Amino acid sequence: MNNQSTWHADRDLLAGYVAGTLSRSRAASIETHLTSCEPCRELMMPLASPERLARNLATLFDTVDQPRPHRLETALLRAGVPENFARVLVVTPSERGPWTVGVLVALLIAIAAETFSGSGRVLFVLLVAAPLLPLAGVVAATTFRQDPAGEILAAAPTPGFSVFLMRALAVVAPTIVVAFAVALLLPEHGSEAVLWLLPSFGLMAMTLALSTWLPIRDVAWTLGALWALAAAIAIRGATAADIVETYAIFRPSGQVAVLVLTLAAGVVVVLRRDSLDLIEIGRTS
Amino acid sequence: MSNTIELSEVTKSYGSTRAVDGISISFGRGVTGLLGPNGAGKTTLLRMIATVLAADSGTVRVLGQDPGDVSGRLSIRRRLGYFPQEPGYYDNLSAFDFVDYIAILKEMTDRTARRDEVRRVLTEVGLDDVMHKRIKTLSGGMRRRVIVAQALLGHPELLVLDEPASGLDPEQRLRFRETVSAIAEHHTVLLSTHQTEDVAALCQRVVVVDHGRILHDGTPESLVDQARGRVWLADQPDSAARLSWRTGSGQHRHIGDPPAGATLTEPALEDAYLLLVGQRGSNTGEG
Repeated sequence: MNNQSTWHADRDLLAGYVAGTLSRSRAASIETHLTSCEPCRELMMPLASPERLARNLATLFDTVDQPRPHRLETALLRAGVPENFARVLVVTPSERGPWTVGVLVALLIAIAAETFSGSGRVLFVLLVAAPLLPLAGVVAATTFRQDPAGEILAAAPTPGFSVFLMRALAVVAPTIVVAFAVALLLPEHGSEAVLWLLPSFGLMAMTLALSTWLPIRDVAWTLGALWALAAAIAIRGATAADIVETYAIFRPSGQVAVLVLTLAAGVVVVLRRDSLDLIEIGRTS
Repeated sequence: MSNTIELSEVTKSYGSTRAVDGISISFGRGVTGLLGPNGAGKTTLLRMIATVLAADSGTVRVLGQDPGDVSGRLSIRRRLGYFPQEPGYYDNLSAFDFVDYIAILKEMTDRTARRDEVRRVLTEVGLDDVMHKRIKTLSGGMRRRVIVAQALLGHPELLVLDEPASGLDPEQRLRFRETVSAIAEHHTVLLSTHQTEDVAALCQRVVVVDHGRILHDGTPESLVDQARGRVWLADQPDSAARLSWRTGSGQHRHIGDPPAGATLTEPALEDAYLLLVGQRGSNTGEG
């Protein structure tokens, strides 16, 4: 006894099934029948267009291959960031998390100290120290040598400069947001607490500009040390009350000067962006 | 037909070490094998061709473009597949995601087309079953194939492979050879290796490099011919031979002058290579 059904779908019915023009219930019946009826399957096969099958298969693969996106990537995509940019930001081995946490902890300690001691010096130390953290983050994120796939990236057509900037942004943006938020919490120094932002951008821009000639690590160490040294020299003998004002960079004229320097360094980076294209530039060995 | 790569009097030094010492050579379609000991200058040469290192002097033209020039470099990079000597990966990404990331940097912006291409190259290197596993869970041979896969993205006209087959087991190596020879039918493949078997199996042309200079340039057969009449089998070891080792059959294989009671044997590519590089070593030793 043959347990196969004696009923068979006719050509028109199958053509309708393949074309997707049948009602849902009829299509479901035909589908159930097809799973158990070899002759009907054979009759249907030539009716399906190869292009459509290929397209279906591609859609299927695309769904299966859909990588589970990183939460940050999903958020970036929702915010309208282009897919390729979001991908580079997320994949970048930037130690982004540790930097942000580091900045947060450093700033919270400073606030606690400020609250308990009431000394004006804590704010000053904070203003000098805060720009150094994003600077270190940029160095960590932007050296191709630190990137395990650096040489493959260097030989890809996307300019090193673009990747470089995307990565710098990936590290700096969260750090600055956190530092900015925490600095605003400082009691009695609401407006003064953001004075470090411009010097921070200035140090990063100058580091990137000089790194088109010299190894980025050496540049960052030197500029960072000079920044701290200049601050230490400037406040010698100053009283705690006006210590922030004592360092010229934190006065309005100083901030304007830093802004000009930052813009100039930005121009240098753009003009010399091609030097970031080869693996030997910025190498420390 | 014009050559894919033209080098003329190219030099590159690291401090006082001359890694590439005035090399002039051109490469065209097919597979060319670069053979040479460690530190011979192969990697430096390939890095200059792959546009990641600039030559100190001389002229380099790749696919008709000057890699020293920004637009030339971009044009080359769009048509290049590159397997660097010590490739790295991001451990936490899957093979698919890693190759997809490189595809993004290779300017493949259409998502569906890009994913199709990523699947194609991973299937090509036999990783279709494991493409969604994290790279750190893959075997060493599989990881190297991930890097080979990214080099194949977009059907590059020029493939520069720096020791791609090291660490592959015999079956993977065979598969790798199939992949490379299929590409080489229409494109230029430059391959550096320590494996004379790979050269014998794959390459129409072999270039032997040592101390930043070219010691031999020709077909693998022409290299073998250089050792004809200089490879011997004997029952006893010979301390005076240039190179001598005991083979699996129990006999001793000598390269160079014949020891007493030795019989001449058919040379292999490896013999010829050892003879050439050994000679150069002893010559510089004397000079």
